[in-house]
Amino acid sequence: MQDMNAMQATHFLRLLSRLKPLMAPTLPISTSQQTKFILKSAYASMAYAAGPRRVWSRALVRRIRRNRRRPTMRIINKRRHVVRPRRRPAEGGSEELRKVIPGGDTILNGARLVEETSDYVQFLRTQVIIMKALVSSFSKGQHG
Amino acid sequence: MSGRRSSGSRITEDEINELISKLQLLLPEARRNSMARASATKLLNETCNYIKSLHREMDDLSDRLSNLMLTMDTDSAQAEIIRSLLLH
Repeated sequence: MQDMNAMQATHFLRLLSRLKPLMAPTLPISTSQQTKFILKSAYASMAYAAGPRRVWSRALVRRIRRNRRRPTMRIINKRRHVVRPRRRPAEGGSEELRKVIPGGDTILNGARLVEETSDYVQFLRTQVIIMKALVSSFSKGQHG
Repeated sequence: MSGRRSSGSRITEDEINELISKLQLLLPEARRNSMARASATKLLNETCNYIKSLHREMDDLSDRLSNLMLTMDTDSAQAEIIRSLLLH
């Protein structure tokens, strides 16, 4: 798990370093845009560290990429329709959980859902640890 | 896992018991204690709440990091973070 941590942390920092040129006085971005970028980078690092073997990591990557592009349009009967992902009906009890796991609505098998949940939670926990470490290290830097 | 189940949407009782124990292990200590004899539904709800709280933490930490951005030197931070993670 240590290798995962290092890979996830390194990737996160690499993504964060892209913010630096955007903060130059000639091209300022707002704090809220900064925050959004950091949050996106956080989820991206999780997905990157987990790799494509998981439903949740693939769904996260799709979600992140989708935010950069306009929604796909299709022409049906001479009208433009936005294509939305098809939702499948979920069985009792686990609907709430499926909503909260990226790509959860496509997981029909209960056992698979628990696997994905367990995996997702571990990467979430790791990401939180990484970000807390960053916050504390940079907070110290300010007073140092 | 003991046996291979068909990937239909029906969950058997064995699978439910397996899920319950897995979900219990997933929760951190503090949330786990009240779940000793929890039903699958309760566990699913508690897991949901836990994940939502992790999402909120990510939001909050992103906000704090954003405010600290100006002082950030990502290169030396990288070395420091990895060092502290490997020492755990």
